[in-house]
Amino acid sequence: MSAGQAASLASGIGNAAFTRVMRAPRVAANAGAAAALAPTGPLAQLRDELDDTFVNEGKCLRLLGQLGDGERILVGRDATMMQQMADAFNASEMSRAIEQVKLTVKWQMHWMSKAKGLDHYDQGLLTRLLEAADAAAFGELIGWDEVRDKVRKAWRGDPLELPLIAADPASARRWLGTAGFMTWARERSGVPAVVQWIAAHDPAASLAAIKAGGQLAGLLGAISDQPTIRPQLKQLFVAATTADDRRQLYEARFGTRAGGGIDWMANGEALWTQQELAAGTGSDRAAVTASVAAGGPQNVNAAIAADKKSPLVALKDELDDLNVDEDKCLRLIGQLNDREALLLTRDATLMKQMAGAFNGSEMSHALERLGHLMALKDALAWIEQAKESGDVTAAVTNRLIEASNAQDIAEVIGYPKALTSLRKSKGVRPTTLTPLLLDAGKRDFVVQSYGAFLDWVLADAADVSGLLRLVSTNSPGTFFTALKTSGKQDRFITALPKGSLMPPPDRAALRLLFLSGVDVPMKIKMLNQRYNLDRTGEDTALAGAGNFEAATLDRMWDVLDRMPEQDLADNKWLEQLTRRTNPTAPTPQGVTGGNRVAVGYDPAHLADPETGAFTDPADQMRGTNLFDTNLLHEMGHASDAQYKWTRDGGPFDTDPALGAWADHRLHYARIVDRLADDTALATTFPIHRELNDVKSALTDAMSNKSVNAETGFQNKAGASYGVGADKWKPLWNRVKAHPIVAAIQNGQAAKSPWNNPPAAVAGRIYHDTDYDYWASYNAATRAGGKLSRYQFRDKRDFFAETYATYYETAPADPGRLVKAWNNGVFEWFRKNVDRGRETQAAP
Amino acid sequence: MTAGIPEGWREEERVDLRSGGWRFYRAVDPTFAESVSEQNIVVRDGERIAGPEGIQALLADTGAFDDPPTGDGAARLAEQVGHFVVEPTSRSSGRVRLDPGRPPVVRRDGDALVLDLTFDRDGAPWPVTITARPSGGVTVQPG
Repeated sequence: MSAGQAASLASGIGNAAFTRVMRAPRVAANAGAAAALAPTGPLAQLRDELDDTFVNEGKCLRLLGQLGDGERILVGRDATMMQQMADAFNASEMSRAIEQVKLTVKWQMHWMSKAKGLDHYDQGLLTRLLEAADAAAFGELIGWDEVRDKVRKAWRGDPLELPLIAADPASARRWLGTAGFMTWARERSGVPAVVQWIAAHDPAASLAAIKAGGQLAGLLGAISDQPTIRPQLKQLFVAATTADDRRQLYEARFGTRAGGGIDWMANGEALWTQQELAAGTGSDRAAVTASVAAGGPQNVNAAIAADKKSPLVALKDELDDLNVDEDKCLRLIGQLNDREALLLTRDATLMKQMAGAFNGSEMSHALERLGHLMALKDALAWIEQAKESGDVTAAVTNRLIEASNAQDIAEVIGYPKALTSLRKSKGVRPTTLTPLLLDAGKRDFVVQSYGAFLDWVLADAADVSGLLRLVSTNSPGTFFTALKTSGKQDRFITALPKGSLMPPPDRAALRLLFLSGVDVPMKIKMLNQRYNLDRTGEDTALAGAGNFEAATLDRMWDVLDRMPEQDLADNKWLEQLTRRTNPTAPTPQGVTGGNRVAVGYDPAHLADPETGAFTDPADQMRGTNLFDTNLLHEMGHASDAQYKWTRDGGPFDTDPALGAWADHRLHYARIVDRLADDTALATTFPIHRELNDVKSALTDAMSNKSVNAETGFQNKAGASYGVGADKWKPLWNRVKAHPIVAAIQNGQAAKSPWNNPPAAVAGRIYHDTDYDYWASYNAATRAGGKLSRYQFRDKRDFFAETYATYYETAPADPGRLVKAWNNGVFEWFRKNVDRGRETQAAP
Repeated sequence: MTAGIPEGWREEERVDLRSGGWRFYRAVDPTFAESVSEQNIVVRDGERIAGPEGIQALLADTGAFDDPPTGDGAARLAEQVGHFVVEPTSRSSGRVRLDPGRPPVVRRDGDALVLDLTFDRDGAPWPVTITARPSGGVTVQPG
């Protein structure tokens, strides 16, 4: 909007309404429109790069990391850009890109599959994307047959283990009523897991939803008896509302065809119990263990001695054979009652014989019958003993894990043989050990006590991200301490993508973890990783203040989070963030140079507002936080160092809205000439010689930095000043009220003209910067006042103070105070420095 | 090269403040290598001296402990001391300049010498109180 357009709009709708309109965040309908709003911004650059014949993928990823939230949404909606990325990126690159763009999970999977088949992607990434989906998004994925089936085939995880399934059972049972999700669950989770889930989540409602969706008949037909799900089968039986459903469950459980004449609704439950008692089956591990402890045979041999017809007799005999008939063994195991099965799991010889005989598939079947009576660590160690780790089905392994508690899993991790097996298990990752991860106490114990767990996590960066996100919302403070205690904190932190390459969900999670702890070295490691810094700590040149405190680091993180990625994480110039001494305490100060930003402060005054240290009452920076603006001011200098915003001949020298700053050096005579021309001094002194004399005297005063221009005339005259035929005193008398005199006197550094400006001459304000040069700038730039006293000293500080003010009000309303002061400067900053970061996507 | 002046910086001496071996400078880095491009530098007998130690030595050398100056003498001492206490920062200039509306006061308080000074920083008053004892110990309290 031009100034004329703005004025017209303001007069049309009234100033108050105009202000509200102008303060509204910039909204773009699509990526093209957003790019046009910030032509030099990362979005515009990304579009340009993707349009190239040969795409620089690394550059694209960096630019993606620099996008603001609104731009991420718009890119996700732009099918052309997404297709271009899919065409250009390999699986690794697409993996990094997909979390930088805001998409729902179905679109994430869709675009990833466009780049490369989903089976080329890391399982941890797929897991993370699915776990991050909300109910609506996951429902959309289930409803898109093509993409859902691609996910089902590629992702080896257990869909029933997704956090959403437990968190939103109403949606989950509705999804189980669809063919798409029921197929997925039966295939990846296994029928027993589906049974367990239904039993655990309002079985009557779940059965009704599944039945309404037409999926119950197929499910019931697929159920077979397995000791691990016997209690759950009974729960389903009790919840079933039709006789036929009950009959099917009964027949599946007991492996028999039920005779006619049974009133399943009235008598079925009693019949079920009677059958279980007869078979000695249906109890869980605790109950069977208690029963054995209460008396009766205590080992296999005793059980055989007590019952010569026990299947254990034939099983023992078979296992002693040179050529073991595995099918027969499995059949015999299936015939064991609970006590016999438990005693078998305790018999090291027989277990070793089975381990030696069974392959992965046979171990899976055996575990379906015995696993529910074994501690998880023993089951896994047995698998490893069989050298079948990784060959046991994912469904069986998942069921064993799901039936375990945090303590069981912790014991596995503390037992190397079992952990080896667990790590090799299909679809199992450290981040899928849900019972453990939900129990913060056990989780933290494992993290700090069992180094092998973090080694497992660290083996795959995707798991580091996954774990970080999980812990960030579940007792992050205790995890912070545990991680520190583990001694692996540095490896954990540096395994994350660095700087702008870090996906936004990781950034948010790392921040939560960072804020939850107080260990300074670890926090600094995190800060350096997040913002791509080489070092944070005490300044070496201005040493003596010590290191940053934890609370200061917390404040700094949130200040730095307001800035664009390109000014910090992708600022190649900036290498260090340091703490310097602070002789001006409690007022903070800083210095930028030598590839570092150094800040000095008083830790007891981090919350102090600006009450006059750098501002006058009407200045826009009055009332802002002193520490924050001090840091942001230096960051502005760092941005300037990288991008040369205030370079000679750059925008601050040429753009009228920014002041069109001019550097007049110390060319006093030229400055006087220019001022004389612009104030029409020749009209007052039409005689050329007189005009030259006056200019010469004014030049003399200027070069002596005198706030009294008469001194120039006195110097010219010497002792004869005002005496006899002296010409200088009369010349002074004629010129002293001329505007050029006020301009020269009031522009002297001694008068702090950057704060108390002299009158403008021909629309420009001239002053001595006290830096070995005179400057001038457009007076209109400060027509709306100023941000602070120092802002107008020279163009570098003009930029830095504006930068600090712009980001002081971020993220809620970046640039609000700058806009209130000067809309032209605000627009330039928004377009060139902020570069689209604040743009919001149209609904 | 003058002692204490960083290499490449341009120095400007306040000749009017000279006193025995004492010299008072303002130095500017014309390259703007850092965001703080000016310094106030005090040199005694050819060596840079700074901080409370420098103030203590100056007050002792100029006889201020024995005979606190008044009027123009107080103003001169204030500007000399200002070279120790006025710290140019990234957000404020550093030229030593007394606030014309608030003349400096140098007074005794028991065995202490107290300097109530107000400098002009970027057009705003910046008051600072300096308390020093002949036996040692200097405090600088802004505000």
